[in-house]
Amino acid sequence: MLDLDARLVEAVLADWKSAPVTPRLRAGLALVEAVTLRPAEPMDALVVDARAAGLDDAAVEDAANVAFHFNLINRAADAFDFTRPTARQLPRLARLLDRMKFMRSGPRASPSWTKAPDGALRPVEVQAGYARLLEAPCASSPEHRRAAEAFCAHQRGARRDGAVPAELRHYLGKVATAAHKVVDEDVAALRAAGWSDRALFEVTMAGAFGASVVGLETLFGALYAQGT
Amino acid sequence: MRIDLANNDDRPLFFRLAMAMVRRVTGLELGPLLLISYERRFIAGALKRYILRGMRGQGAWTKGEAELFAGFVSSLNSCRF
Repeated sequence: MLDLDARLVEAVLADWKSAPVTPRLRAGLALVEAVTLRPAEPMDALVVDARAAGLDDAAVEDAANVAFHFNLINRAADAFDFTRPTARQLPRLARLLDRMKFMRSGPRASPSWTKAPDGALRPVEVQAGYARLLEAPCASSPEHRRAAEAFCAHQRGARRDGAVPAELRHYLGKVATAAHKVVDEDVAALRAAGWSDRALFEVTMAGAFGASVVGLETLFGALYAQGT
Repeated sequence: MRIDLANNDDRPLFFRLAMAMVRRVTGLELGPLLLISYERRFIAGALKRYILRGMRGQGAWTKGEAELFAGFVSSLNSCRF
């Protein structure tokens, strides 16, 4: 952590509710926890609490954006078994990424959200990403990617659901709710069933996307549903 | 890594250069970079910028606070990465 005390970080990870953090940061942690652990449960009260703690809509969105991103990355990292940077590699890596100007994100869209055809409120960029992630001509079929997205969203409490091929159900169920339990044998079995690495990557990403986006949809609904 | 993401000629040139640099400086194949730089037609520019905003903490929170959120999420997910 770059500008937070290591002991404070440890205290938050051990028990964020009792950790000595500002009300603003605690409200952010509450949002992040809800988006991660209870993505489909109503978040209206959380948004009220966040505003009372001094968070504006941009701060609420950004906390949720970080949660979305790491819910997605965590699932991919565990499903694909990404190589972990060592303690020695981490500082060099952080310095290097800081120097890469093209890795910056650019300004926030205004308005930041849009109402999707399915009625969900999503960040504009996320909605734009849906079309390509699910529909682009790639190694896997759009039908499989759409099913994987909806199947994993359903596993996390969303109403939509998808009919994924039988051999994918066990694997995608883990990706959605317990990606750290994916093992080599899961991927080996799918390869044996004819899935290429590229097709597996794409359906996994579609599934991880669906599992991660549910919390964003709930939170953006709580933030902006009255304005639609 | 369980699946082969590194060998992909469809990856945009600047990402290939970035990953070569990361590999040279740290010896790592950096998973998140491999992920967001997979085919341009699959991960759209807007989504990529959005993901980067979450990854870099460029917003209403400091970089340290964003990293705390990231570590918190990874802990809640029992992520091994």
